[in-house]
Amino acid sequence: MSFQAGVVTELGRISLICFLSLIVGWLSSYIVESLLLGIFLYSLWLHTKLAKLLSWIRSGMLDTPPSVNGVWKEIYTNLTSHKKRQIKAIRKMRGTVQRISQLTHAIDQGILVLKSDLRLEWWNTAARGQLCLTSSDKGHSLTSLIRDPLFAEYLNKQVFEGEVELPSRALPERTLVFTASHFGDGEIVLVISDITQLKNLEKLRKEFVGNVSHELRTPLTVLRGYLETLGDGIVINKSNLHRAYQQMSEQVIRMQALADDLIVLSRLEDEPTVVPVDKVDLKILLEEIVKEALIISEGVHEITLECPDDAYLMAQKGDLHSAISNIVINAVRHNPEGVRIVIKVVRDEDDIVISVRDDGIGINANVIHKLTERFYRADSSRNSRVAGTGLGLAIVKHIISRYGGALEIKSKPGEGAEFISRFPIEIS
Amino acid sequence: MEKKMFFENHIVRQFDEELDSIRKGMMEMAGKVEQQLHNAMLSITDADSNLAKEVIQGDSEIDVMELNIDKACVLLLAKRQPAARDLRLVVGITRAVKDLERIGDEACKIAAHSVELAELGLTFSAFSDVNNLANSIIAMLNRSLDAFARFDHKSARLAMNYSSYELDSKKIIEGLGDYMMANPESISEMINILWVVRSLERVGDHAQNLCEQIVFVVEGEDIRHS
Repeated sequence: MSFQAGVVTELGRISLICFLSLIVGWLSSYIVESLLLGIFLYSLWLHTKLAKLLSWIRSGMLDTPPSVNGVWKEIYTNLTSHKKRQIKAIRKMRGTVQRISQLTHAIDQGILVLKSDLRLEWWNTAARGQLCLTSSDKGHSLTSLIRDPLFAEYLNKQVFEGEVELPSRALPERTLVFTASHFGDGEIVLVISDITQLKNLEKLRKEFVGNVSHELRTPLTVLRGYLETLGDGIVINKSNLHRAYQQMSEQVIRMQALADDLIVLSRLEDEPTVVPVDKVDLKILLEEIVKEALIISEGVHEITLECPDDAYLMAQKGDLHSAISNIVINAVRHNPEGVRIVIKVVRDEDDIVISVRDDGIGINANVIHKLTERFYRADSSRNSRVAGTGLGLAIVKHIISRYGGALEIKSKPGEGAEFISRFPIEIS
Repeated sequence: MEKKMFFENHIVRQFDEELDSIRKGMMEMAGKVEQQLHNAMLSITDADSNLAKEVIQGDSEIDVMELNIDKACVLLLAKRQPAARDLRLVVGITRAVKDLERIGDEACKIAAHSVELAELGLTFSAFSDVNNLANSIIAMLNRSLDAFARFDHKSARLAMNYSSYELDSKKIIEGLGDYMMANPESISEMINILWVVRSLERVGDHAQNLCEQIVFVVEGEDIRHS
């Protein structure tokens, strides 16, 4: 039954009452009074209907609606279906909320919600375990429970940068990483991950690399010493052994270089920041590097240096030398005869930029990001004429980042390459 | 009427905020003290005299914190005249801050001995016992500060009764005596360790005092010297 039909029924009802009271009025000759009586009776009936509707609505609209017809039935059915839809929506919403809350409790990362004044608002199961929280901790300030000064400093900044690493409260040998971010109405969400395993692995790797390279050094020195003695004497004259001897010497030298580079790398990793620094005159340093590079190049490359007289960097000279010379010697080694190499020092607003550009063979775009990985070597053939350990650029990157700088590599195959080292202007 | 209510609310809220910021300041100080103590012990085991010197330098920061919190407490007492639990809290905090500062001093002393030990070299084979003692005392300090943060007088009482650091330190000192008699050449090293153990014991005492203060703040009962 449509709404119009309901209205029509109701109009019919009104006209019937009017008609009846008119007839009664005509018979009793009190037309006005009987009309008024009719209207009064009708409004009384309306009122009882309304009272019923109201009590039904008050009771939650869940009972079966009273059997009525006309516009009343329409009202009841509309309200009932509306209520049903609402109940369905609420149920669905509740289910979703429950699922999300189950999900957050199932995650093994700790999640905390803090109010803007760092009071604890909510946390999941993992966070409770990691931070030893109890259910009465709601409303307590998190920084009074985790009192590490680093943590307080991180949270008090309000602009969250990076993350903060702390030992766990439950088990001090485990390391937790906290990452905070703003959300909602000034609230803060804190995500905690346990990185103990990662840390241990990293430590193991560092120790392993450092120890192995140290241990390799001694036998290699012995080998090299004997090989050199042999070279002076008998073996070299017997032509069938000559090649074997030469290969052995070359490979021993290469292995020694490798061990040395690995030791340098692990030293760089162990001391992420540098303390004692001296004022390095870049012009003098770069001139030295050019000289060395020209010796390795045996005069087949053209190397030019453009450097202002007053360029200085506060750094350890050895570090800086090995970083830049690694780049320049790479350019010499990997490029054919006649290639021009330009070393340029520029000072811009934020950085001191040392760029080494060549117009040689260039590097494929898809391997550029791999260049600074350990043991990555750009030439695919292992036994190529180019001797190298594959650690050079890893060392370069480490050194530059130790001074807060960055290494950028631009290149296209056939169009040469440019290695740009940026050092922050603060250390100039 | 409504205006008056609002006004009262306003004052109370500001008072709460002030009290809260004092508590926060104390917890910050506690964090620094815990770190100092931890680093001081670490500097002995790692023979890291740089870290020890850092601890010694860091003490002045704690002193400044103590003065600031004390000043804020006095100001709060003068301005707001708190009563009942609030008053006990302010009094408790002024006492606790004193204990914390002393713990910072002890950490400093440990660090000073650590510098000397780094020069002498650590030969005492039972030093792990000292480390265990330090760990249990640091854990007790941690528990008592947690109790302070949570106003948890029950766990404060537990932390107080549970610890056995006095017995442990006595045992270690006996061991040190025996070792000294057997190896007279290591006496100067042993004396340093002895002082470290002594300092740790003092830290334990101060941690106990902290627990007593929480009981005082929450229950209103002064359980010192009982």
